[in-house]
Amino acid sequence: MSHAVPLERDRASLPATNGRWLDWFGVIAVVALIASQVNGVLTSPPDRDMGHLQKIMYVHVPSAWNAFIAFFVVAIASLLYLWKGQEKHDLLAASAAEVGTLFTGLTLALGSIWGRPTWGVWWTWDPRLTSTAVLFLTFVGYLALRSFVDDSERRAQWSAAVGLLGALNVPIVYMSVKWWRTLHQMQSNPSTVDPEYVIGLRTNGIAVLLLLIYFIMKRYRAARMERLAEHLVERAALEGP
Amino acid sequence: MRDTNGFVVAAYLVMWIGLIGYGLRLFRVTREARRQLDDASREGKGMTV
Repeated sequence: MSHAVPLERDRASLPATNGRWLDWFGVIAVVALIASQVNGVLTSPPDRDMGHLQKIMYVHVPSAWNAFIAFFVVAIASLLYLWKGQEKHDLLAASAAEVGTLFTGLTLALGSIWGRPTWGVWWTWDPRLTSTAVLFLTFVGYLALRSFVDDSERRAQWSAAVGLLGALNVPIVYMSVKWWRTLHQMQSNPSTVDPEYVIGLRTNGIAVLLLLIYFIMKRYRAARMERLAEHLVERAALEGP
Repeated sequence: MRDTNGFVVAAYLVMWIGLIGYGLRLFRVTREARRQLDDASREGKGMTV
């Protein structure tokens, strides 16, 4: 069984016919990211203990924050799907999950690059690292599940359940450095880092957030077009020549 | 301090490779979705969509 969609309304609801507004938003996000990274790298002083390694914070921490935001979107969209059964919520959850997985993967890779010179190892089974790896693998599984299930309604229901369960891990990842004695430092945020680094951290966080919004909206728009094409083909097959 | 600068450069490179790689994937996915939609619209020309 698949979702029944009123085609006329669905096509009309595709955002702005050629998506040019969205691409301009993407250009603004990229320019903001370049500007905030250049500003962060050039203007922040070396850390007393870590030296210039501190500058990895401007890519690692915003990636982690925005992965959390993406999975929050997954949770809300999955709940909305389970409540209302509308396909658009399933597609939004899937788009956010894909982008969240990208940023979680980046968080792990960048953290590993930061960890090697700081801790002396690329990886350790620290609660923060382990819970983040579990989060990453959960959403890799979520994306795999979506590619294995053909029936759109069943795929959406199963995905919503996995998406919700996966997103429950986000608070565990966030709080892991407080709940357990851990090698990873406390959460880096404007209240815990040196005042010299606050502006750089905030501007990079906002720039990555803009890019996150662009990626999710772009992926969502493509997903809507894919599904609309499938519905058109199904409708044409049902009506016959 | 000099030997750790390579890690900083590597981190920014990894970040941008990831972002550009995903951007390219989005470009391909969007182009393919648009092609599918155009094909499907042509096939179902009799329908009011």
